[in-house]
Amino acid sequence: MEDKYKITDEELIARFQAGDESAFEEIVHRYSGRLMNFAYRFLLDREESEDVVQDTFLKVYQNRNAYKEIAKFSTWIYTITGNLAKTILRKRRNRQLFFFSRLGPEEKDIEFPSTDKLPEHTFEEKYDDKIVQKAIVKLPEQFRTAIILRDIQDLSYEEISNIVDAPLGTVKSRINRARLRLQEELESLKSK
Amino acid sequence: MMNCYQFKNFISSYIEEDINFNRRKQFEEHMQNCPTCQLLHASILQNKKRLASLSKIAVSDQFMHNLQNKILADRNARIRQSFQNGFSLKRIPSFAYGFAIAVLAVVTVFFTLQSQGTDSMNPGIPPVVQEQINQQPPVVSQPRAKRIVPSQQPPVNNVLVADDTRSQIKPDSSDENVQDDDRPVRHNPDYQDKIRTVKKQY
Repeated sequence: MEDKYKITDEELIARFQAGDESAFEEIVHRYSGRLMNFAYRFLLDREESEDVVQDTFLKVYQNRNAYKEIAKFSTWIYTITGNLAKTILRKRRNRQLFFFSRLGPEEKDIEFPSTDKLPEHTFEEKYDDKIVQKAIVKLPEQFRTAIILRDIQDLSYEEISNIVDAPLGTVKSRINRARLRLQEELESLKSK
Repeated sequence: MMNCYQFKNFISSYIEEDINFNRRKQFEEHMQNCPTCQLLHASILQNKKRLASLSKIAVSDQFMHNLQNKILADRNARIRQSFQNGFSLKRIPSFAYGFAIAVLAVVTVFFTLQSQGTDSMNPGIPPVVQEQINQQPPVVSQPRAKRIVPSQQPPVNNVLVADDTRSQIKPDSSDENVQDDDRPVRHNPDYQDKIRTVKKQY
């Protein structure tokens, strides 16, 4: 995935640590889309997802020297985004408990991004996307993270294992169960 | 022979080609005989493709501008906070307190030991004088070899009169019979000076 870039992510962050601000801009350029997709699939809210991504970059900016080249930069940045997204989910749950409301984010009307940029998407595809997205948010948090990182973000098992801080075997098992569960959810949504 | 439960448990390994040749053959044999698992396999493969082709969500056009504003705001907030705080004891790290206490303890112990050392040693005071200070002064006769010539003696009336009871022994000046040898050492002017010095110290 990174082969298309002449400078690796690790070199970029090293430059940024040395004081090169333009390296930070390049990091934002490389990761904003990927992280936005990850956060959006997780939270299903465009504004919140964008806030999460901005907070991720803010944390990278503030804690640039906390990154040590023992792990891949992508792993580090995805971990930050994942943690921030989980915090948002926790806040949502607390808010729900506070207002004794049964209407959670899962039941909210799904907000879909404008398709102006993607004219090739047909109505059927949009409908398909909607169903799939609905099924994803119905998955338990651990399964959701695993399947988004593997099947949408196309990360390796090792990277996912580092991001979610779980053994490789556990990650494989979570992905397998998430796929089976997603299939069940899709079937039940289609039958409705 | 593989059953449906095993098939479900390892279907991702089969899809990801993360199994050996023999295991792969078992999967394929099972699928040929089980239409349910065959359908499941096809569905999961299709879902995988769907997930990979989900529409990409782009950040808004204002993203970079908002991010820069956030970074600036955060930087300004930090600067303002550091000015507002000024000097505060809370900003001193806790280990600095520990270090200061340790240094204070070492200095105290050092000076205590040093003062004790000087007290016990009393350099320059002969043990005889020390004894005279501490106890009833014993009458120590000078060795015969050290005869004090009477002419060099201070006036006979120069009697050591101390206000403490320990120095009540006064040499009788009229007693001419008392021989020089029998005079106590404390009548030696050198020793008297030393005794005075010591007493002043106390």
